[in-house]
Amino acid sequence: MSREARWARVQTLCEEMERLPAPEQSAYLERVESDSAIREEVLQMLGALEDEAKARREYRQPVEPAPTELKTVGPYTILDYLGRGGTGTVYAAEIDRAGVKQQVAVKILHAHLSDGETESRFRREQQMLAQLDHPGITRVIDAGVTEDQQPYLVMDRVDGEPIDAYCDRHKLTVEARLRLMMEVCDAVQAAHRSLIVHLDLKPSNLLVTQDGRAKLLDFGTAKLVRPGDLTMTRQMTPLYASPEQLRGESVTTACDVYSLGVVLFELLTGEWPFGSRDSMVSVWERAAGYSESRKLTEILSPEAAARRGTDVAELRRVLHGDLQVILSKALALEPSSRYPSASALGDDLERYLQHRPVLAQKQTRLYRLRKYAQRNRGVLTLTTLLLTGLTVALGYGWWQQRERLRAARVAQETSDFLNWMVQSSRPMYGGRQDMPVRELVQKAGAEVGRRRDLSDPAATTLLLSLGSYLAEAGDAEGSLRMMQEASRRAATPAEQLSANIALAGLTMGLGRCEEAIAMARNADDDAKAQNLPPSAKVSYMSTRSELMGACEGKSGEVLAFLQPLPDIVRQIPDDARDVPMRAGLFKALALNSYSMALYRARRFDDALAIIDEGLRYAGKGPDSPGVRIALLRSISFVEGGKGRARESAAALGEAVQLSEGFTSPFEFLRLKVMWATKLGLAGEKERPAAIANETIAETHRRAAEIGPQRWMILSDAGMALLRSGNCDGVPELMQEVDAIAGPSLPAQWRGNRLYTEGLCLVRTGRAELGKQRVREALTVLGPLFTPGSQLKKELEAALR
Amino acid sequence: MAQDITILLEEWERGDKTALDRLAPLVYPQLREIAGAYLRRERGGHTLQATALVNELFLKLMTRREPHFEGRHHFYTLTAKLMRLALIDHARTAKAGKRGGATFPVPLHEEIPWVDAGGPQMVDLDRALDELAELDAEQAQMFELRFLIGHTVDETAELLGTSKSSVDRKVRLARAWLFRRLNVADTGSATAAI
Repeated sequence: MSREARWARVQTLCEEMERLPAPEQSAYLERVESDSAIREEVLQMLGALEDEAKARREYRQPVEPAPTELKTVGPYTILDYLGRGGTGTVYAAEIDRAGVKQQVAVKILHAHLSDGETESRFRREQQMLAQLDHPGITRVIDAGVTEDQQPYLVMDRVDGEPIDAYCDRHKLTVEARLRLMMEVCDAVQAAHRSLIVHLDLKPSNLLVTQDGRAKLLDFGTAKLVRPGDLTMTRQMTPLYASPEQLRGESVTTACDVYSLGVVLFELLTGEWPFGSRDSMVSVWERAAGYSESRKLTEILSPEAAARRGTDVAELRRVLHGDLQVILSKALALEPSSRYPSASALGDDLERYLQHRPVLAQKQTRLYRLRKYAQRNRGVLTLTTLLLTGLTVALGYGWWQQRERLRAARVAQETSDFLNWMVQSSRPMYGGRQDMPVRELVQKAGAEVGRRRDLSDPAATTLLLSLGSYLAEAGDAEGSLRMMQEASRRAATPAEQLSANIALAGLTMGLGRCEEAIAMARNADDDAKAQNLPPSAKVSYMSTRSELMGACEGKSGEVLAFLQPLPDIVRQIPDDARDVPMRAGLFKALALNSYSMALYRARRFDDALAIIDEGLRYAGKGPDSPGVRIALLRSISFVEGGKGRARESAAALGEAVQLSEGFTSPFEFLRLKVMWATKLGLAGEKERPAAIANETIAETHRRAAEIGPQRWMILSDAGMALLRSGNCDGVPELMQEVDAIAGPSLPAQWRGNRLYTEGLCLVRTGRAELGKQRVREALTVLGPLFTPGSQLKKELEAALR
Repeated sequence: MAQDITILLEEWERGDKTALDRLAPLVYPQLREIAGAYLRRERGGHTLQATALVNELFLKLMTRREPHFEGRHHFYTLTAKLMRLALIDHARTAKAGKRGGATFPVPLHEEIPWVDAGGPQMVDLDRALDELAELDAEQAQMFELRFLIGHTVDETAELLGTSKSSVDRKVRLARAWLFRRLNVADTGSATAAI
C-alpha cells in the first residue's frame, strides 16, 4: 500500500471510529484493520484531534500590554491609555490652563517626522484640521511633536459609543438609523468642503454621544500619518475601504462616500455588504472590481430585525426599493457613479424619509422602463383585457366606489357577465373565429344595455370598463354612448363623478371643447360630495386639469389646482381595488398628469422626480403599454424642456414603437409625428421629414378610420417638416387643416398652425404673406406663452 | 517594478514555475518590512492575524485593474505560496536575531492559534506542510488557502471544485496532523508509520 493510500485509510478509519461509542472503538479497529502500524497511526490521530481541539478551545488572545512609560506629551499630562488604532495610539490626558483642568485626548501618530520638510507639511495639514469646526466632528485643539520626533494631535475627548453598537443597544428603527447617518453625512460634507478627507470611516470612528448626536473621530489623520503618500493601504480598514483605495490608487472624497455606504448597509442589515467579514477574498475581488454588494433584503436575520424593533418580513419591506437603490449608488465600483458628495447621499436619505422620490433612481429611468416593458410586451389577450377591467391610457381616469357589501355581488355579476360573453363568442357556439376584441367589446356594451337582470352598480362598472376600452381602440363615439349609459345608471356620487369626468375627457379627446367644458361642470358638482375615496379625487383632478389647460385656456392655474394631487395619490394603497386598473398604474398615470403641469411651469427637475415616483409605482407588477407610453411621452417633454433634444427624441421613439398596433391609429400617428418633430429638434434632417411625410400619407389613407380629428396629426406633421427644414407643401397642408377642422380650432392649435405656415412662407421667399401669418400667430398665442418661450423668440425673430 | 510583476505573473500562469523564484525577490523587501511591523504589532490595528499581511501581499500582486481571474485558482495558490515564503522568511530572520522577534505571539489564523505566525514555529509548519503535500497535495493546498490566505470554507471549496463537507473534513484532519507534527517530540516514528 502506498503512503498516500495508507494516509487515506487512516483518515477514513478515524472518522468511522469517531462515530462509534468509545468502548466499542478498539474492538472495531481490531476487526477492520489488520495492519498494526495503521491501527497505531489511527489512535495517534484520534489523540491529536482531541489535543488540537483542546488547544484551540483554551487559547486566549493575550491582552495587549498598555504602554505605560509615557507620563507627559508636550504640556499634557497623560492619565490613561485608551487604545491603538490604525493611525496612532490614543491617551486620555489633561492640561492645566490657569488653574482650570481641561480633559483632552492625545493621539500620537504612527509616523516619524524625519526632516524639516515633513514637519512643515504636518504643521500645514494640522492647521487645516484645526480650522475644521463642526458640531459633528471632534475638534483638533492642538498639535505638536514629541521628543522622539513623533507627531501628536490633541482633540476634544468624546464620550460616545460606536454607531453600530449604539443603534443596536437602543434598538433603533431603520428611520432613526437613517437620521443618524444623515447627521454623519452632514459632518463628512463639512470636512470635504474644507478639502479634508477621512479615508478611514468606520463604525469605531463614528461615535454617538449620550444625547444621541453623531460625532466623528480622526478626520484627516490618515493623511497626516503618511504625508504625501496617498495610497493609505496600511492604515485603513479594508472592510470599509473603496475599491480604488484597496488598489492603492489616488483617493478622493468619493472614497468616503463609499465607506459611508458600507456603514449604512451594516446599520440597516447588521451584515457586511460583501459576504463574510472574515473573507479576505471578498476584499481582493472587490479591489479587482469583481464583487458587487449583496441585496439588502437577501440577508436579514430575525435577530437583526429584532434589533431594529421589527420582524424580518417588515424589515424586508422597508429595505426593499429606494434604500437598495441608494446603497447601490453609494457603493458603485466606479467613483464617478457614486453620489457626487456625502451631502448628496444625506439628501437622498432625507428624500426617502419624506417619501419623496430619491435621485438615485434617475439614471436608470429609461433602463427600467425598457426592462418592465420587455417583460410584458404583447401579452394583452382577450381575457386580460376584459377581466382586468382595462384602462385608460392617456389621462382619462375613473374608478368605482363600491361599498364593501355591494362589492362582492358586483364582482360576481360582472364576472358572470364577462364569462357569458366569452363563452357565447366561442366559435363552437357560432362566434367568429377571428372576432376582433373591439367588436367583442362593442357587442358586450350593447348586451349590457339590453340585460334587465344586471344591477345598476354592475352595469356601471362594466360600462365604464368597456367604454374606456373603446376610447382607446379608437371608437370614441361608441365609448361616449357607453359612458352616457354609465352616467345614467350610476348610483353613488363616486360613480356619477367617474362617468361624468370620463365623458368630459372623451369629448375633449374628440376636440369638442365646449361640450367637454359643460360636462366637466357636472363633474365639478359631483366632486363636491363628501367622503369621496382618494382614487375618485385623483381621477377627477387629473382629467379636469387636462381640460383646464386644453379647452379653458387656464394653463396657468393647472399647477395650483393639482398641488394636493401627489399627496392624495400617495394615500392610495398599492392593492387598492377601487381603481379601474392595477393601483400602481393608476397612481403612475395620475402623477404623470401632475408632472406635465410641472413641466409647463418649467420645473423640469421636479417633473422628473414625480415621473420617477410614478415609475416606481408602475414598476411593481405587470406593465401596461398605455401607461408606459404616457410616461415616455412626459419624459420626452421634460427632457426637451431641459434642452436635451436627443434624449427627448429617444424617449418618444420608444413610445412610438410601443404604440404601433396597441393604441388607436389616431394616437399612434400623433405620437409618430411628434417623434418626427423631436428628431428635427435634435438636429436630424432626413429622418424627420421622411417620418412626417409617411405619417401624412397614412393619415390620408386611413382618413375615414381616424375621423375628423385627423387635422391634429396633419398640423403637427407640418410643424415637424418646418423644424427639419422641409417647407415644401407645408402651407398647403395647413390649409387642409383649416378645411377639416373648420372654424372651431382651439387657440393653441390655431396659433401653431399660423406659426408653421408663417415661418414656411418666409423661408420659401413669400415673406410678405409669411410675416402677416407670424403676426397673427403672435396675437393668437400671446396669452398662452410661458415665460421665456422659445416659440415666441422664434416668431419675433422671423419678423426682423 | 509593477510591470515586472505583471510579466512574471503571466509567465507563472503559463506554467513557467521558475517565475515564482524570480517573483519573490520583487515583492519581498517591502512585504517583509510590513510583515515585521504587523507581527511585532508596531502598528497594532484591528486585525491581529497574519491575514492582514495577505491583504498587503495581494495588493502588491494586483498591479492592474483586472487580474488574471480566469486563472483565479492559479492566482490564489500563488498568493498562498508567496505568503508562506514571506512568513518563513520573516521567521528565519527573526530566529537569526537580525530583526528582533515578535514581542508578542500572533496567531496564524483564529482557527490555528497554536502557531505563532511571527515565530520560529513557522519554519516547522512549512516543513510539515511539505510532508503533508506528499501524502495529499490537495489537502495541503486546502490548508494553505484556508489558513495562510484566509479563504472561507465556501471559497476554498469553490476554488478547488469540491464540496464544503470535503473541505471541512480534510482541513480538520490536516489540522490535527500538523498539530501533532509540531507538538509531539518523537515525530520521526509517526511519519515512519505512513
